[in-house]
Amino acid sequence: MEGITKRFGSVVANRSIHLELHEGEILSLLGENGSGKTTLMNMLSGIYYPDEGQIYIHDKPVKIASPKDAFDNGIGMIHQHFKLVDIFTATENIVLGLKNEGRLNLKQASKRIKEISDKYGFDIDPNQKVYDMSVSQKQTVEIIKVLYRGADILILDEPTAVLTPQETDKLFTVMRNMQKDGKSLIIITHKLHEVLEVSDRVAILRKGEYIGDVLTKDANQQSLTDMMVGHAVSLNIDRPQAKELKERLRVEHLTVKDIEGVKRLNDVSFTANAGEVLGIAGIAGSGQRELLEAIAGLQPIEPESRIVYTDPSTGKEQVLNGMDPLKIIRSGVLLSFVPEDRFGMGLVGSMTITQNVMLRSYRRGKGPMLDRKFPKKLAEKIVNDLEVVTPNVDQIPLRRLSGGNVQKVLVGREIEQSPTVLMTAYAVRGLDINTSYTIYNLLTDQKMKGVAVIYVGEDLDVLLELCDRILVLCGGRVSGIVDGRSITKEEIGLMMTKVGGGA
Amino acid sequence: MWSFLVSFLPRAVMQGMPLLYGSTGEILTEKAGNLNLGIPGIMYVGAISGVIGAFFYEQATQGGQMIGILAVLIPLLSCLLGSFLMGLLYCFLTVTLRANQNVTGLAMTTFGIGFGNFFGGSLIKLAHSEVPSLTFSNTCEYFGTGNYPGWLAYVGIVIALLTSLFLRYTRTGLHLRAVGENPATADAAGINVTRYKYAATTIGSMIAGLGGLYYVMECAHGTWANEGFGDRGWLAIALVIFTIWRPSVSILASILFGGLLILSEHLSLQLGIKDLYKLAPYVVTLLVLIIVSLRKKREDQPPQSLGLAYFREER
Amino acid sequence: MHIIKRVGIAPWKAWMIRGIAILMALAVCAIITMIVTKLNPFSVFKTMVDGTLGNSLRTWRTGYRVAILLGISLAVTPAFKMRFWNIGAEGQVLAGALAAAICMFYAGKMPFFLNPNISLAVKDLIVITCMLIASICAGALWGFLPAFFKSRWNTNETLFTLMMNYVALQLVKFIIAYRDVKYPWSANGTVVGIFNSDQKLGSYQVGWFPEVGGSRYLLPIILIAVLTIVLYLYLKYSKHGYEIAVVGESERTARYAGIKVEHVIVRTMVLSGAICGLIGFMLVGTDRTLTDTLVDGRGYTAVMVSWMAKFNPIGMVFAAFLLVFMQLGAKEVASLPSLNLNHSFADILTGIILFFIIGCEFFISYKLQLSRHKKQGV
Repeated sequence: MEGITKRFGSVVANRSIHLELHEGEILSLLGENGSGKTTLMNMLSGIYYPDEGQIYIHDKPVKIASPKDAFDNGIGMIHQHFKLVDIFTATENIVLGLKNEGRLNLKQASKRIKEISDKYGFDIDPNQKVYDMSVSQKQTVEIIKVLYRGADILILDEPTAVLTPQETDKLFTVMRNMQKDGKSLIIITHKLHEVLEVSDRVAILRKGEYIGDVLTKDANQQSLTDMMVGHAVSLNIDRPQAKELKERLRVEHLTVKDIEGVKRLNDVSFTANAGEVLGIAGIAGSGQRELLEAIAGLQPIEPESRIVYTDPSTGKEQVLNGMDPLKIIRSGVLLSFVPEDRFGMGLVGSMTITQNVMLRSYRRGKGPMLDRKFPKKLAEKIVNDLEVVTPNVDQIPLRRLSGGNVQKVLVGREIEQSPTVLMTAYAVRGLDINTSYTIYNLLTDQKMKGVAVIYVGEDLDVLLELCDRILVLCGGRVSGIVDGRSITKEEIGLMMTKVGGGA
Repeated sequence: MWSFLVSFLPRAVMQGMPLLYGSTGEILTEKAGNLNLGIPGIMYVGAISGVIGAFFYEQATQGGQMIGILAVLIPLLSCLLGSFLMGLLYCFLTVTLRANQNVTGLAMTTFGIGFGNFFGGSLIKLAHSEVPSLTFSNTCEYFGTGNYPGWLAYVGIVIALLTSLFLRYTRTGLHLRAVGENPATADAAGINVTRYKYAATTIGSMIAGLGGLYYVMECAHGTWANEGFGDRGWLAIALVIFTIWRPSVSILASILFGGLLILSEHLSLQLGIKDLYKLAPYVVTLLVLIIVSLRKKREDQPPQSLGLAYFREER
Repeated sequence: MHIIKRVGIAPWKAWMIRGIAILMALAVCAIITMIVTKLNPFSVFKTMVDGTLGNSLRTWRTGYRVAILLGISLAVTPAFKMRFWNIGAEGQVLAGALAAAICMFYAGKMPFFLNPNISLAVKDLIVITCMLIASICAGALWGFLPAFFKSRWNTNETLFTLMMNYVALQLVKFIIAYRDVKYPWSANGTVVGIFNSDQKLGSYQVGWFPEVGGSRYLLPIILIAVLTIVLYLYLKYSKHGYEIAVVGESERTARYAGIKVEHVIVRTMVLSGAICGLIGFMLVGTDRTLTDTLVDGRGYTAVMVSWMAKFNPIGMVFAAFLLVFMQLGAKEVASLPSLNLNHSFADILTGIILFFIIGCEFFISYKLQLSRHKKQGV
């Protein structure tokens, strides 16, 4: 790939990137969230088309405009979100969409699948239905699907994010078998020990730019971290110290399993204090979402978990286990939550600002009718205080505002509840610098008012300057809780990739 | 008892066949993710289109000798054309224009039944008939005797069997099911979702339309009367759920439903009780629907994207 | 050519697109009518106006039909706003009508109501109250069942409510043909006469809706006008209405805000069914009889009315009027002595109008963009 550039609107996702992949090599593509790894690979697999630049395969220029073009060139990508039909068997999914194979012969296809899996050491039953499969089995189906189509270049987008350590080891064995067979593999990841374990060479992206590559045997965790996170940048976020800290929320042994029974959070314990910002750092998908949703009563939690809330006025402790959001509200716990997925969870896109502001407070007042004056006033207050750019508060649907303004409405609403605990997930994602600072200042204001603020973030520079303490999650476990003023970026980077940190 | 069965069974089969055609067509449509509630209307249109064809051919040969192959082909082809156009309209609205499938289907049913009754009524007037019905005794001879299921009944059974085999064992059938289950996945696998939806829905409509023609030519002994077809279209949709989307099962189930429709006439029952018998197919279908959702067996659920329009850029 | 989903559209623009679609539909209808009738469109239109609003009887009848269709459309609307595809209004209305008819029929046979010395007002008060309660309960039950199974086991509500329609219809057919040993419902098993219509008996007129302002149609019209306003307020300004809207937009957001989704689904469908039952009660009280064509497909038409008006009760008044006007007007045209066409002509025209309105929604939700660039990405 030479000089590849891709823009989305005014955002440059990839800036003139050069990347080389040798035959029979496993290449790791390393970078933080939002560094443009997936975008780059999507251009190889035909999902996006580069704005500038040229792709060569075996030194011949090729044009990859669709997934089909990618297949024809022997490129196959295994995405993070599997594209499988649940009620089909593995075989049926694998042959789906193939046209030039004559009539359907599932038996023969199963045989070929068996051959492929024996050759590379996959463990798969071709006649198993996808809905009966574990995540790792589904991933296996996706990989065989690509091999069945004769791909020589395989791209795996964060394949280990959903796997247990044992499954990861199995996958690496399979990858090495494929490599021996002469296939080239690219693995997108941000787990350093995996990079060191499986790959021959590492290429690093940062903020959409190509930083460089290094042979794995010449690299160690420290050197890779330095290349990945870069040097600390000073942001000058104001971080006053609160006068007194009081325990507000105590989480003990919190364990959360997803529908498939995989532990997304494993024995997480910490306290969140009034008067401080507790940062939560970690690679995407390390359990941040589950943590906040479990506290908010939106995730079922395992019986050994305890979530204890201390009432600021009475000092009484209250266990929040097993409460749904309505019960939490009714029991007088003032919990605010800015979720990650704004329109999927926190807001209703087709409703106006006023109606969205109402979402938290519509139960106010007696009788069956809505109180409309109060939310309108509140909406106007939020618009004024946070300088939301909007023609009006009760005509235009929220979806038509820009992302920053939408986020201001969401954060504004949650703060206006005068919470005692304020949880935010990726509160500044997709926002411009000015809006981001507005949000940082709001959170700091809340902290000084004696609110326990929990800030889940992805930008380490921000976490380091905003938070009083930082909890680092790694694979659903607490990797460490550190002081935000004394820790370095490199130390956090290491903790994110390995429980406890350290090389 | 034996004599009862001899007289009852053939009639049950004949009553069941329109339902079999309707349900086979609807299953094919639903497997592509389209919930076509316009089936009752489409069956009306299929029936009346066939009737129009037969009417004009009988008029043309007034008194003279009819050519057998034309007497069959003309109604058959006009029936297929009529129901094809209805299927095409449904696809244009729901697939291309992504309109709501429920509303479109209901509108098609209103339109189709109106269309059938209007042209039926007009033909009756054209023929200066004394009674409010039209009889094609000449044409219907070529379809069957009226006492036993004729060849079109066997065609219906063959179509149902072929549809089952097609869905299960062919590559195209596999692709079609993928479209109904998960169009985004099918799309990513290089399957043309729109083309599959159009093809399945129009062919399904044509099969359903044949059910209308069958009803006129055999069940009604070649007689068209307005509203004569009744609620059979909805029964066909019930049959789809009852058989859990399996055309081969529908062969027997449709005969069962057909039998229930006329059982009361064979048993000398009190008038009201007869209607309770007619209640049975719907109640049983409801029970099947409930049991299936309780058991949560994935193969028995409706196609996952049933009723939803697919728009690639919306995730 | 490239299709893009619109982020939003100004309401006036949306209504303009719908208006244009209706005009185009009317033009097509006019052309078809011209071909079929060979009359000029203006005289056809005049006949239609004549047939719907020509004299006071017709005006009352039109008003009544608009009111009933509007009432059923209102009933299904809360469920639709919640994205619950209730196409079972037909059955819910019939269930309500059946319950009301049973009350009215058997009341007329009881000694208390046969007693000529008790005033009609007292009898009416008792019977009409019973009818009201029974029909609301029956309709609510028909709404509750699919909602219960949907909220518990995610049973497909479209298919469920569809089947429930025919359960209700067959029950009505059963009761009409039912040979009660003492009081057969109908003489020949197909037609039930007007209930309590024997002037010689004390039960004469028991359970009939009183004539208000010289017409038996005025009372249901007033009731439904009130219902329209109440439902408008309920959907727009009540806490329940707000919950319904949030659940319809996003179940996850609803859960986040502490709304119990299953609870809202059942509550709303019970309400939907209850209003349908109420309409059934009005139909029986006004028509004073029970037939299996009492609802006559209006349960399905109502689905389309509600959807056409984008679930706005005020918009539904116009949509219901448009459809009833077309139906009755086309029937009038069809039955002109010079033409003597089939009445189903009206259904064809209704279908055409619906197709245009259904199709035009595309241009409201999406826009077409001409572009020379090859489409990139997904």
